[in-house]
Amino acid sequence: MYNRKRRNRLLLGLLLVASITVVTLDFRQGQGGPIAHLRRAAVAVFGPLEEGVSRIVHPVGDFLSGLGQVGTLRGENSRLKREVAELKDRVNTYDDLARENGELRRLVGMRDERCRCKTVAATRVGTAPSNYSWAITINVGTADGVGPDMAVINQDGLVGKVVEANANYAVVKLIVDPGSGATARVARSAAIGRLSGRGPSSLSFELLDPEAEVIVGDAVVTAAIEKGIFPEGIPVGTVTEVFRERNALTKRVRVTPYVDFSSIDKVLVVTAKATGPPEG
Amino acid sequence: MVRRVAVLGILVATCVLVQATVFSSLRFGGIQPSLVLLAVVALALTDGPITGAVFGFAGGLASDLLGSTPVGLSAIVLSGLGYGLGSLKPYLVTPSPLVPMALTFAASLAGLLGFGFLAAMLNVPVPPAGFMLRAGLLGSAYNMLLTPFVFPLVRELSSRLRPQRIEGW
Repeated sequence: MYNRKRRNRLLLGLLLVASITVVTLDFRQGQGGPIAHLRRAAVAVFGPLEEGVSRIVHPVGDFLSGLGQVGTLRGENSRLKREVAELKDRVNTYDDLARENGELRRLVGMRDERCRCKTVAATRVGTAPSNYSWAITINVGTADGVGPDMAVINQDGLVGKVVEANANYAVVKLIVDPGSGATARVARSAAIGRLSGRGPSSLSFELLDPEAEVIVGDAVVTAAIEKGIFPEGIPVGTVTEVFRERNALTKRVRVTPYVDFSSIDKVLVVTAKATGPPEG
Repeated sequence: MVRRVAVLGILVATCVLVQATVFSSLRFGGIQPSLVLLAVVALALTDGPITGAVFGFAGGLASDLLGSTPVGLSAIVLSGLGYGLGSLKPYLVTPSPLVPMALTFAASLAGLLGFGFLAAMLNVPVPPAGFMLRAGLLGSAYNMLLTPFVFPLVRELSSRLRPQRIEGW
């Protein structure tokens, strides 16, 4: 009995040491290290599985997530749409295609008009299994020209950046993740600052000039910088709160993003930014 | 024994997979249930500290690898949780279903808050404290409600695979 307890404790100790080693390795090695390789391997294994399962359970997931949204206009809207679909098969198919068409048109519009960059289209196949980190897995990888540190956008605006990619799948860290950062500016006054994530659908925007002019309702877009990741002028969100602080060195505001991060489906990965000055 | 390890391995992979695909659609108020954590609690209470710790380690590692947090944090939290709960196993004699539910709530809360605390200590960017607390409570409540569904499944699976000898792991 005594031996069993000791053996248990030893095993736990071993596991904890292994975990700490892994954390340390990950911290110190970053992109090139063994942990990054392990991540890529995990994505390689789980990627196709996630895609397969997603395809099967998408209708179930949609139904269940619809349950969770009952009580909001959107939930009511989706529920009614589903009822119509059940009754009229052909109309359902048409509605679906029209919606997808609209979504794809807006995606193309985002790429061609706002971004003017080269992109690769992808679909979300999985979400990071954690409540404190916001990341998704998409079904494109290095074989499609996608690599780490590429911006990801969708028809509504900025989504995030690629952090890991193997041949066929990639992991995208969303901008609402606390570990995300981007340079952005207020569209109206061109005041520049730094964005960072604050959780499920909120961003913190810190303007460099404490006297910068910004009001609730202002639009925020990305600001391209030297050696930056994000292209210029991608819509990010709207200012919803301006914090007043005396004698502060910067001005902080809260931004609500345009993108609905709880239901990301199709995205574009920016593989090459527009070169030359933007027209107009 | 090999068969047991293999099946438990598949269970880990399945939980992570289901979590990454289906459960993310089950967000209520922005929070999703933690299937992996649930499975760790269930296995620890059924099979003892070793299974709990190992399963927690594997599940935590897999969850980290698919996310954007530093790899290893969930492994630490979940293996510790698995061990702790497994050690409680000999003291749980009541067949009441409320006990596993209460334990799941407590364990989920400890796990979610512990993860946040650890991440903050290591200077990993985390969401604001208010959000973490709310997410911890909501997530734990969510897990607690799923316990009556997950627990019997895990119990059944585990007892089917128990080696024939009286002595467990």
